[in-house]
Parts: sequence; C-alpha cells; structure tokens
Amino acid sequence: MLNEFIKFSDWSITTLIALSPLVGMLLALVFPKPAQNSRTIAWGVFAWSLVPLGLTLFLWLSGGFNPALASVTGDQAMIQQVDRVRWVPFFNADYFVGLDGMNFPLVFLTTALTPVCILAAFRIKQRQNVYLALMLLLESAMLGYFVSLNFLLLFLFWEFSLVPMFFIINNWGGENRRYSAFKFFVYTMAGSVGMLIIFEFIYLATGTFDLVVLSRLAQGLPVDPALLAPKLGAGYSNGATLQSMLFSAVEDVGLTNILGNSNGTPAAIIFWCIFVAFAVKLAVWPLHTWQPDTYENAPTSGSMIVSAVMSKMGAYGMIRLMIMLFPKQTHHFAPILAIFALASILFGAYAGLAQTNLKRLIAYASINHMGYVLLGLAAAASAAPESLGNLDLNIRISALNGVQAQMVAHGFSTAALFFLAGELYERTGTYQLDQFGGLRKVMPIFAGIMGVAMFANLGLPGLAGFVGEFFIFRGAWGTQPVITTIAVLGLIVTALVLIRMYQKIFYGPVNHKLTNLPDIKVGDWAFNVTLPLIIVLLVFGIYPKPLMDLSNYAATVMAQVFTSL
Amino acid sequence: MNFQIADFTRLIPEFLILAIAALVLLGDVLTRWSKGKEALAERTGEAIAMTLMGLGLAFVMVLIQGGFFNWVQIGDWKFYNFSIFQNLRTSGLDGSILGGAFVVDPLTHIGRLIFIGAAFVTVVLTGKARPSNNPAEFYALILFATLGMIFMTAGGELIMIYLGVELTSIPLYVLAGYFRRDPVSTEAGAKYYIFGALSSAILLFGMSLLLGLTLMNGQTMNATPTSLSSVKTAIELAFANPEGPSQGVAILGLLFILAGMAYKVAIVPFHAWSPDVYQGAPTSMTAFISTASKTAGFFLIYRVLVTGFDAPSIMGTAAIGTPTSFGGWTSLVAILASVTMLVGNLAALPQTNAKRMLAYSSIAQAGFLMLGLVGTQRDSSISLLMYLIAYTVTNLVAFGILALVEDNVGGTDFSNLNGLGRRSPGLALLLTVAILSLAGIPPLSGFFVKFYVFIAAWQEGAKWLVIFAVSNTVISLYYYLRFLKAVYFAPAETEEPIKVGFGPGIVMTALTLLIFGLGIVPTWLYGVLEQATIRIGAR
Repeated sequence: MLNEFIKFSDWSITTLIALSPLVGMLLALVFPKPAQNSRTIAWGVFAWSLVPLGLTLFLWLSGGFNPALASVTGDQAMIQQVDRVRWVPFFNADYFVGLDGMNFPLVFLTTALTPVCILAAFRIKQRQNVYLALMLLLESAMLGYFVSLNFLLLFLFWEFSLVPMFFIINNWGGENRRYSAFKFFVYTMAGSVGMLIIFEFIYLATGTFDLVVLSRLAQGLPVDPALLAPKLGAGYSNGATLQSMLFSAVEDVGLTNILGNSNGTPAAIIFWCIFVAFAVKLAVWPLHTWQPDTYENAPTSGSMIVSAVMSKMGAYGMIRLMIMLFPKQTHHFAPILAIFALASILFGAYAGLAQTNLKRLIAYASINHMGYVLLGLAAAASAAPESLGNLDLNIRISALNGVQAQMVAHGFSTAALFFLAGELYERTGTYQLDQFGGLRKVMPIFAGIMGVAMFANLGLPGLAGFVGEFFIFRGAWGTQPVITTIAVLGLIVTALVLIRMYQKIFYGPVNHKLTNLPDIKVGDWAFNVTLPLIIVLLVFGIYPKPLMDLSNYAATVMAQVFTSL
Repeated sequence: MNFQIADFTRLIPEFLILAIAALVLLGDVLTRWSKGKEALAERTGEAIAMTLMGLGLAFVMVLIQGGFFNWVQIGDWKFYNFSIFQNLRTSGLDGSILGGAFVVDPLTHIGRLIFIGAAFVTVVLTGKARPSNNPAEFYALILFATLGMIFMTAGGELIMIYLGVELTSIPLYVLAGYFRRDPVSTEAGAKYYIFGALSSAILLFGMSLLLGLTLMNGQTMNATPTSLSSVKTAIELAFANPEGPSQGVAILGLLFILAGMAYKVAIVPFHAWSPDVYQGAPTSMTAFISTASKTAGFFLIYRVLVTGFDAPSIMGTAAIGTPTSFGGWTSLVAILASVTMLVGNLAALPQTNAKRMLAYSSIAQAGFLMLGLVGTQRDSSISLLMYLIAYTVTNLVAFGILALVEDNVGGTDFSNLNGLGRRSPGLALLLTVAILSLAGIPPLSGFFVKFYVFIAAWQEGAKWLVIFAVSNTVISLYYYLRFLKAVYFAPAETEEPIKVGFGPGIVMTALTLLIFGLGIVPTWLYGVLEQATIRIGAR
C-alpha cells in the first residue's frame, strides 16, 4: 500500500541533502582559534555548501528525481527518494523525508542560494566562522523543513530554523537588531503555536502525523488502516475523509454543542489556524509587520537568505499543509485568501513608494511579490465560472506552476537586490535613498547588474520574474477576474517603486561625496557573488521549461482536486 | 515478614545515603571549630564535597543495581565473583522486603535516580544561599529528605508510606525556613509545617480507615493487613457485596488518602501553601521542593492508586457519555486535574515575582501531570513517568538559573531578570530553553511529554479533559513569554555579566542538553519506563 505512492531511496540522498550542512557546521566550529577569521575556513564552508547543491543538481539532471512520475494507482504524484524510519513509536511518527514536484524547486532554491549567501558573508569580520556555521545550520533546517513529510518532523525543522536566524540578526545585525530579532522570533513562534495545537488535535482524531497519509485522507483516497494509530480517532473506515474524521472527533468530545452540527466547521477553524501560521511567515498583510524590521536589520547575507528562502517556507507550508490537507476549505475560502493577497499586493506596493530606506523598500516589494504567490494559490483553489469550460484545469495548473516559478525567481532576484544594497552600504555608509544620486556614472557595472536584478524582480519579460507573474496572472484571470484586475494596479506600482529606487540611486546629479566609489570589476568578489544569480535569472527567463517541468505534474494532480470540487 | 540477609543488598543505596548523612554530620564536628569565616568556609566546603561524593556514588550504584549496565559484557574474567561491579549488578534484583513494605522494582530505581540526581543538582546550586552556621545540618537534611522520597516511592505498605512522607517532609520544613533572620523564609517554613502536619493527619486518618477495612474483611492470617495488596483485595471484597457498610469506608479511605497526598503535590484545592513556600524558601530549596518532592508525591500517588485501587468498580472512568458513565477516582482525578491547571494558569498571569510565578506554573504542571492518572493503561503510566522526568529536569534548570541570578542580583522579581539576554547571553539561553520546554514548544522535552499525556488521556476516554488541557496550554504561553520579554526586551540596569561558578554552569548546561535529548529522541527512556509500568501492573 505504502509502496504505491512512495518510492524509497537507494542511498538516502534526501537525508544527505538535508543534513549534510550540519557536518560542515561542526567542522566550521571546531577549528582552532587563530585560524578563525581566515579565508581558509570561509572557503571551506563555501565548498561544503556546494555539496547539497551538487547532490540536488545530480538528482535533477540524472533523472534520479522524475517529476512526471505518477503513483502506481495514478491518484497522486509519486513521492520519490524517500527515507522513512520509525522515530517516535508512541506518536506513530516516522522520520519521513522525500521529494515531489512541490518541494523540489524549493530544495533547489535553498541549495543554490546558500553558497551565494555564504560567499556574500565573507564581509562579516567578527567571529566569521560562527556566522558561517549558523548559515549552514539554517540551510539544514530549511532543507529539512522542505523535505519533511511528517508534521512533527516538519515542525521541528520549522522551529529550528528560527534559532540560527535569531542569532544572525541579534549578533550581526544593524542598528535595531535586538528588537528585530526578538520580534521575528516571537511573531513566527506565536503564529505557529495555534497550528501546533491544531495538529495535536488532528493526530488525536486520525492517529497520524504523516502528511502524505493525511492528504490522501483529505481527498478521500484509500489509506491503509495500519498506517493510523489504533485506539485513536473515530476509527478509519473506507470512505472516511479527514473532514469527517475531524468532525466525529469533535462530536465525541461534545464540542458540537458549541460549534454547531455542521460537518465543515471544525475543518474551517483548523484551516484558519494553519493559514495564520504560514501567513506570518509569508508576510501576508496584516501579519507582515515583523518583516520590514527583520529585512532591514539583518546583516546583508542574512537579509538575502531570509527574504529569498525563508519567506518561501510560508508559501510551501500553505501548499503542503493547508491546500493539500484542506482542499475543500481552501476552495471555500479562496475569495478571502484572494482579498488578503490583494491587500498584500497593494499595500506592499504603495508602502514601498513611501520608503526612504533602500532595504525597507526592497522588503515592501517582497511583501508585494509574496502577495502574488498567495493570489496564485487562491486562484488555483477558487471556483471557476461556467464559461471557462475545458480551460478550468488548465488555468489552475498554470497558477500553481506560476507560484513555484515566482518563488524561485523572486528568491534569486531579491537575493541579488539585497546583496547589491549591502554593497552600496559598504561603499557609501548609508541606506538612505536621498543620499545617493548619479552613481551610474561612477559605477557603471554596478548599475548594470543592479538593473538586471531590479528588472527581474519587477517581472520584465525575458527575465525569470516574468514567468512566475505571467502564469499566476494567467490563472488568476480565469477564476478571480475582479481581484486580478485590481491587482494589476499593484503590478504597475511595484514597477514604479523599483524604477524610482533605481533612478534615485543611479540617475540625477552626482552626489559630490560619492565621486570615487570603487566599481564592481569583472572577476572580483562582488561580481562573483552576483554572477550566478544573474545567470539563473536570465536562463530561467528565456527557457523556463526545466523549472516548470519540475512542478508541472504535481500541480496537475493538485489542480484536478479542485476541478472536481 | 522477616528481614533476610539477602534483602540487605537491595537497600544498599539507602544505607549509603544514610551513612553519608551521618558522616556529613560527624565530619562537621571533626573539622575546624571556630567562629571565623575561614572555618565556616572550610566546614561548608567539606560538607558539600562529602554530600556530592556520596550522592554521586549512590547514583552510580543505583544505575548498576537497576540493571542500566546489563549490556556490559564481563566475559570469563578470573575474579568474576569478586568483582564489585558484578556483585552490585546482581544485588538489586526485584523483590519485596519486609513483607512488601519496601518494594524494589524498576519504578523504585527510577525514583532513586530522579531524587538522587535532583539532590545533587540542588547541592551544587546552593551557592551564596549557603547556611551561615552549622552548614553540615543543611546538607544532611537534604540527604535525609532524599531518603524519605525513596521510601515514598518504594513503599508498598501504608505505614512505610507514612514514614516516607514524614521523613521527606520534616527536613523540608526546616530547609524551607532555613533563613531564620528572614521573615519571608520563616513564614515559608512555618506555613509549610502547619499545612504539612495537617495533611499528614488527614493521610493517616485515611490509612486507618483502610486498615479497618482490611481487618474487617478478616484476611489477617496470610498477609500484612496494611500492605497495598491487602487493601486491593479488601476493596474488591467490599464492592463485591454492595449491601455491606464497607463500601463507604473504602471510598472515605480513598478520599482522605487522596486529599493527604494532594497536599504534598499541591493540587488545587490543597495548593495554598505552595506559592508562599516556594517564594520564601531559599531558591535552591525551592528547586528541590518543586521537583524531587513533587515527583516523589506523584510516584506515591501512582503506586497507591495503581496497586491499591485498581479495582474497576472504584476506578470508574473519566469518559463522559459512554454507557459506563462518569464516576470513580479516575473522574475525581480528572476534575481535580482540570481545576488545578486552570487555577495554576490563571493565578500565574498577574505575578510579578518570577519565583512565585514558577510556583503557580508548577501547580499548573501538576494539573497536566494528572492527565496521566485518569487511567491505568500502559500509555497513561508511561506518559506520567516520562512527564515527571522531563518536568524535574526542566524545572531544575528554571529554578537553578533563577538561583544563580538571585545570588548576583539579590532578587527574583521579573525586574531582576531585565536585560539578562544582554548581560549573560548563555544564562539567558538556558533559561529560554527551560521556559519554552515548560510551555511545551517542540522539539523540547516539554512538548513531547505534554502531548503524550494528552494522547494517553484521550485513549482513556477523557476527551473533554484533553480539549480543556489544550486550551490551557495557550493560557500558559502568555505568562511563560513574560520571562522572555524580561530577559530579551527590557533594558538592563547594568551590562555587568552574571558570575556563574564552574559547577553550576556545567550542571545547568548538562540538564539543558538533557531537555533537548529527551525532546528529539523521546524514545530512549521508553523501554525502561515500560518495564517499570508492566512490573507495577499497568495494563
């Protein structure tokens, strides 16, 4: 039964990808004191961070991960390269990691960006080896989160990812670092406590933490009863769904007197608890207020990783835990999700207009871009008008594919932007936009690179950012035409925000204090950091097929769930 | 009934602790006599060293005796029979001593380890709260209390249980009021003593009722009338004949015993002494009282209820709505649990003193712990024991850090913790881990044990209680986060780091690692605890 939708790994490559950074972390920490700040350790850590990337690319290119593989019965995508070992027997919990089309692009994003961020962290002078070790710990936690298929395991990695980030901001951050670090920590934690408690209840009602089993239950697909803990829940019988099991548990407790006798109410409450947890992480309006502070006060490489990868943890959580476990509720509440998305899009864009601090401006642009991600998810789940006909499935698939592409593209472009912002700060000592001016004449190559990153970020055709936004909007037009129409406004304003930023920095009269800033030279350190980002943005902008292929089948299966609702 | 020479070896750890306590007292007489500071320091150092060595030795002995080293292969060594290790290993076999008065089983071994370990940590933590005169008394009393706790855990007979309770309580009364010049500490001691004496009387009264019951059933010939197994048979007999008067006696006896024991572990409505005592006692003593003493109380309750009162007729069920319906002591425990956690949590909210808040948090934790007592199935028992271990470790860290801060800053208000994150990031981190574990955040041990008792209670049918408990964890989050707010948010008065000695630093770090270990790999205690619960008769 299990083997029908799970394909075990021959050599634990998923575990290797997720946990190999931990070995590097230990190596970075054990080096003797005198060598602490030497470049040797930094290069060593960088080389080590290429290991997970290498393994991921190997999987991708060698076909070890086949994104189009369906399960034996054809009712879901095959989860591949799985490692599954008993972990906590009395919670019926396994160490369960695996790859499918929904997490593989994000694994690639994480493994590809971490080496870049580590390279960018060469600027850190104080206790550099500790900083780099924290980066590797963070990478491991995020990868673990993306590949975990058991809620307990996933939550463990989720919490663990907060710890290194907290210390990165708290010890190496900017002016307001202690406040920002604590705010970041408490916000995420507080958001996720509700989810934790809700999942405790889901376990009591169903007897499993296994996300694959739960998603099969949610869709009414057959599940082997041996996978569910005995003695718990209302007992699984054929035809039971997650929703009905939750309801009978609530009935058992006697909460129906308070919640009413509707079958969907418990699931709806659970849905919103999960949404809040991930909306905090994704910085959806109105739960975004930690985000500009964090992005502003983190050190450059910290901002890069938190904006490029960590915020995607929220979107991924929504896909894996919210949409896949509660498709009916997502379908039902999709218009509200779309409104939240719209608020993020507009709010992020207009607030970005008002910013005078470069990093905060990029932060608000990020809120705007994550709004598109949520819009894509809402669009994929929304009810489609009759007139769509056969296009129904098609537009949902493109929205979901767009979400994946947008996440990857935004990761690369925003990392580049934050890095360049940091470099500007290193050269000029300020993030204030009105302190710059005319820098294109002083630093032409810098301006060129930043231009590419900026245009990729705002979604110029030919660069990667366009692909995601295009597919999301293509999907969203079909199911949420009104909201999408208004969201286009956001699209225009973001472009305005970013172009205005670019203009203030690089055009206009040259600030006389800034006439002899060193430019980026071809082949120097800063060039090497940005080059891979720019290449990826260009490649996926011109030829996005490999990226889209990764998620396409998984998106198709998911879209089919919604077309049948 | 008789004491056999073979039984002696089973009691080696107890005799050792007794001997060490006597030695600590005697050693004090033999060290330098003078009023001077140096003499006092010398005497204190000597007492601490001897106590720690004795406790460490006893801990290792229990580990060997309890079979935790049975995986070590000795092979055909020449002096096989003369090896101390080998002899110790075979000396602690399970059995009942003195006609079932003292039971040696895995539960006893686990109890010994917890109490000896907690006493060790407490002695390390005494720090500046050291006694100003006659230091040996202080440490000898800790040892005597430890001994009493072991008797409480091992007691298989009512009189032994009572002796254990008294042997634990009387030293703790003295220790809680040890700062005679400090009115708060004196008040703590006096209050603890008065409440404790009252509860002992109630306990004794309940025991006398049960003795009457067993004698009434006339089974004095072949069994000790006060042993828990006789109590069990008597209760079964009493309920077999619903007409007779003995049923009421059994229920009354149970109620009184439960009330007496509930005092010891501060269960609402018998909790009023605990905040004052916790706040007034020297902080290291508070750590000891809130962990070891409470754990001993729960071990006692567990053994008494499971071996003495597990007849289905008096056990009842805490499930609502099933045909067998609500009733018996399980439902009483369930009600007490819900009241305890609610009162503990609500009272903790407005506190301004961290120690007092932790006292209320301990009350709330006792409420969560009781979720493991609403049934006697194996999961309930294992989760209860696991919770007790995790709770002991976590609370020792929390109170331990408070004690270290108090030594430097001079108070335990929240304002004394202000800016700890800036002053001593290491200490702040340890405190954060402990607090988050108490709040039940994964991957710390506090989460796993809390969730495990939830599952256990759910399986026992007390689903309403689980939902209630889950909503209570949300309340508790608020006041636990106040710690973090003080530690990381509030501005520090000085930037001066807090001085921590080598010993406390190592012990606190080790315990914190244990909090992580018990959380990430919660299974490594499972086998041992399962054995303990099977042996005691959990189904």
